[in-house]
Amino acid sequence: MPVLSNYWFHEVDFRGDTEFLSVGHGPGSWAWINWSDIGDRHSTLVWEREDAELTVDLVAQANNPAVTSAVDALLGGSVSRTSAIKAGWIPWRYVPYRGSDPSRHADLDLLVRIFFNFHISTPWYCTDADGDISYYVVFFLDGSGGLHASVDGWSYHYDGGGPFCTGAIDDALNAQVPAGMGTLQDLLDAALAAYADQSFDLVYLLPGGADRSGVGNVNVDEHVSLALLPR
Amino acid sequence: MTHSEHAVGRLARKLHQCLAQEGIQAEIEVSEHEGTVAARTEFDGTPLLVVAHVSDRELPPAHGAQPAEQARARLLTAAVRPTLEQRSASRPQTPSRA
Repeated sequence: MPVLSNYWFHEVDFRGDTEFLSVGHGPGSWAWINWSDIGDRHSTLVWEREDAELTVDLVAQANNPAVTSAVDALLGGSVSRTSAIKAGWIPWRYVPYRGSDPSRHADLDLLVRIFFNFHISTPWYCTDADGDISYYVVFFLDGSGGLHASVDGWSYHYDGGGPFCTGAIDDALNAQVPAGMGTLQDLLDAALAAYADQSFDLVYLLPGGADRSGVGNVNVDEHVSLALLPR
Repeated sequence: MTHSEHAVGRLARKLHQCLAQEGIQAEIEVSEHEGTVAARTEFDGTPLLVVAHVSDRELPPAHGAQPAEQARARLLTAAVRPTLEQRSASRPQTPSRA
């Protein structure tokens, strides 16, 4: 039975805190939703989901031990990861490095932002730094329906490190974070090898764990699933 | 060693020596773009923090991208990808009403 999923987002352009509801419906009949008070919502999306749809929860995949240990090894001793790895969507127009090459993607193309929080300890005369490190990934199908992913860029943001340690923190992050693109690409290529003998008609992203029934709430900036329609 | 690194390190070490002449044992850290001299001390019974920082750096960007040629080459094979723009698919689409 096909499923209609409706998503209501707190922010425009389909971002932030997200309410969702999915209802199955038979062919030739309405899928209907009554929601008396959807609250402070500023954008919405609807997707008609086929029975053949396959979904992959990207947060669950990102937090398997093989991935987290690779990420921790990448960070080295000076930077420590302080959160689980999150994987949300972000439209291209909101990606921090968009300004360096705006036409690389369309404004509302969805990249997956894979990110986590970190902590850096500093000498006693500085405050410690806390922030997040992000990588931006594009999933796509080639002309034969093969599934691929490309690590498109990186960014970091932190607070603290003042008054004198931000330079050393920037040096460490500017060395380690870009170098992580290759590691992440290798991890993605290895993960997608499981799909190498399959071809697909469509790849898209769904908020949260891609639930096919019921209501729920998720922050789409932090949790999405990959959805595939086999050919 | 670059001229800048030389200047930063030399100045930081001079500051360190000045404090030492006053009997203050300070920590010193010198890197390519920064030198920091820091001490906790006491002067006439008053606890003091002394921190001197020498830097020649400009703030670097906190983001970066795969080189445009590489990204375009990799995405050249992309037929379908997730988007909220008008979507295309690799399989035939049923006509839709405007």
